[in-house]
Amino acid sequence: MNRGSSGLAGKGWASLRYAILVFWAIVCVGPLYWIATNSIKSYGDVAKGPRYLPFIDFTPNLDGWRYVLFNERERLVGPFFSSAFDAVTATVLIMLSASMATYALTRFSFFLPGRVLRKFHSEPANNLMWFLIIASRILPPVAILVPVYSIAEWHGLLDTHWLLILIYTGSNLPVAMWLLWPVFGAHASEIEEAAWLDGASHREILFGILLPSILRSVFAASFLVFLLSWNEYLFAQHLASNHAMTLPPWLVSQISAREAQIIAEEDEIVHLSAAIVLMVVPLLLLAGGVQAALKRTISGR
Amino acid sequence: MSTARTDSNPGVSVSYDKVQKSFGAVRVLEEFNLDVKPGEFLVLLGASGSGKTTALRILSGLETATSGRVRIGDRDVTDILPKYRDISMVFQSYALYPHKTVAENIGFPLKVRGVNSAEMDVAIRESAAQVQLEKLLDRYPRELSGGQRQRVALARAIIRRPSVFLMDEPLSNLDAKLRGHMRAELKHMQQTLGITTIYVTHDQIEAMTLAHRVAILEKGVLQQLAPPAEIYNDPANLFVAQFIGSPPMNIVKGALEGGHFVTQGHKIATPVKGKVASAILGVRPEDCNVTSASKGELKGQVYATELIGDHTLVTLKVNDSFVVVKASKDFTAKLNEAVGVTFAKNSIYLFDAETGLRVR
Repeated sequence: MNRGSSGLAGKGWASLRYAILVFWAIVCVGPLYWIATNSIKSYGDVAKGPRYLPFIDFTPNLDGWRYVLFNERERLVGPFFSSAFDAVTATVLIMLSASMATYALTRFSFFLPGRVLRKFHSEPANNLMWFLIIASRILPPVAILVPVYSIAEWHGLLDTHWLLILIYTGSNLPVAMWLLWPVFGAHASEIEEAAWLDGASHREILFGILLPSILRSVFAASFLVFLLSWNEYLFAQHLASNHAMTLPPWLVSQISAREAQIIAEEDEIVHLSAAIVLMVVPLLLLAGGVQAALKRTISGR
Repeated sequence: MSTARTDSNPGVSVSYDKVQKSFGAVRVLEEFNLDVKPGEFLVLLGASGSGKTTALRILSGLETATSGRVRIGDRDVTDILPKYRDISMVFQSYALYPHKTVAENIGFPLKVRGVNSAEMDVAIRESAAQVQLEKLLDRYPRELSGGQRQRVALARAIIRRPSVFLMDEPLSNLDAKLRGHMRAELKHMQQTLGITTIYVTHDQIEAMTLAHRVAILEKGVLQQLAPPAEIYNDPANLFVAQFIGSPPMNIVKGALEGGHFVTQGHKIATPVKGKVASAILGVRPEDCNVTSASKGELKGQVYATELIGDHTLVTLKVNDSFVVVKASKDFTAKLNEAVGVTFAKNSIYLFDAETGLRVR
């Protein structure tokens, strides 16, 4: 910041920068605000065009929330806890395996097995393994939907929490590894070497020394993979649409309700808005909570 | 200082036996042989890339030798995990655990060995007392000064009473004043504990002041292994002669012809007979004196004078090269004034310019 403003047109440059930032903040926060206000409008106000300021433009009304929280209650509680359970479990599994896998791939050398393969590639195959792990994310999820469906059916896993947890863990593991990789560094730091000489095992070094010293990044990665699991729609919709239904399919089912002409379009907008707020609030609370917790604990890397 | 656990340590020996190390095609350590005596303070001295740190890391077990054996006491530790080698190491960065308090840092080696907490508490207090850290046990590393962090690293190293201390440039992150103080403390601690210590540094002052013996490395080859005084007074080759001493030894190129060193317009009597077509004469700045132009073994012009405090450094131009003389603090001379340089015959060092070896 200081470096930039000491330039020729220091002041003009700074105001332009702020203008860009403000514009971008509006682009990001605007829709959220719009949805939040929609959720407290009456069905009638929604139909009357754009109105943004509660108490001035329109009178706040809790009909939408009443509908979502009480009329829909029986259909909402299940998906809410399904989403929470699936996302939390997947996040824990992902972070456990991602930290161990990243530790192994950055601290040890792995070679291809067998004499024949070694002839082609005698150097450590760590980079190849990284490539394969990251590449598994390149395939569009739709492409594996049908095979996954068949496999789940054979094993009687359709419409269960464990199926979604398994899918979320598998598909987001590379993301977490990708995020942890640069923070772990390409090889052991002097701190880890000190712990190794002090007699710690690799498990103690990873969980007792390395991870606590990079808590900030661990929380950031956890939050991202939690978010990806929490918001996942495709697999949830097609593989777990009844007993194990999560929030995103439930949200979409609100649209179906209108299509079936159970409710009017204005009602639908209000209901959807309230439901979306309901989905976003836990994420915001979580993000805020993590921030506050990090401020209190020691500062990591 | 507590004496409960400072039962005098007899110290153990350490030996490198034909140790070689390559990283890919790069040889960083060539057939390295070294025997460290029990209780000795041995300094590995060299510039960066000389292989000194690699030699230390091979002993610690953080690096494995490409070939050769490493022994601690009568045990061959070449294939033994670091934690079973009975060593502890102090790193240049101190390598403290940032999320652990001073007490937890110091106690960590005992904790991972499953020592019970009451016993550990006593040991932590003792180690902390030895480096004057008793009052800071609840602090975190980030709340400590550089010198205090250094002490925590030391306390963590001594809590286990290892057979061997390994130190990798432990003082180079400290400011000059503190470094001098910590140097004295380190020396005192090593003498008190009597633990065999191998200390890596690029700083010749640390090497000279701390070591019982200094091993000088360059390009992966051991150049000389001797007590500090011998390293200074009797360097084995040109590299050692120029590496030790500040300012470095003066160098004049010429030829050695039966008792005389001959170079452009100079003929200097030497203590060495023999005949070397391409030879180098070395003489330390502190062994030289500036005299009148008519006298002196070398003749030149004053190029610069620098008052350092307790002495003046006079740089002279002799033919195409420079000669530095350490003169008294009230020395004065005009720029380009013609002067002579005198030195005693026995302060001359002669080297073969081809091999760099001493001509004796």
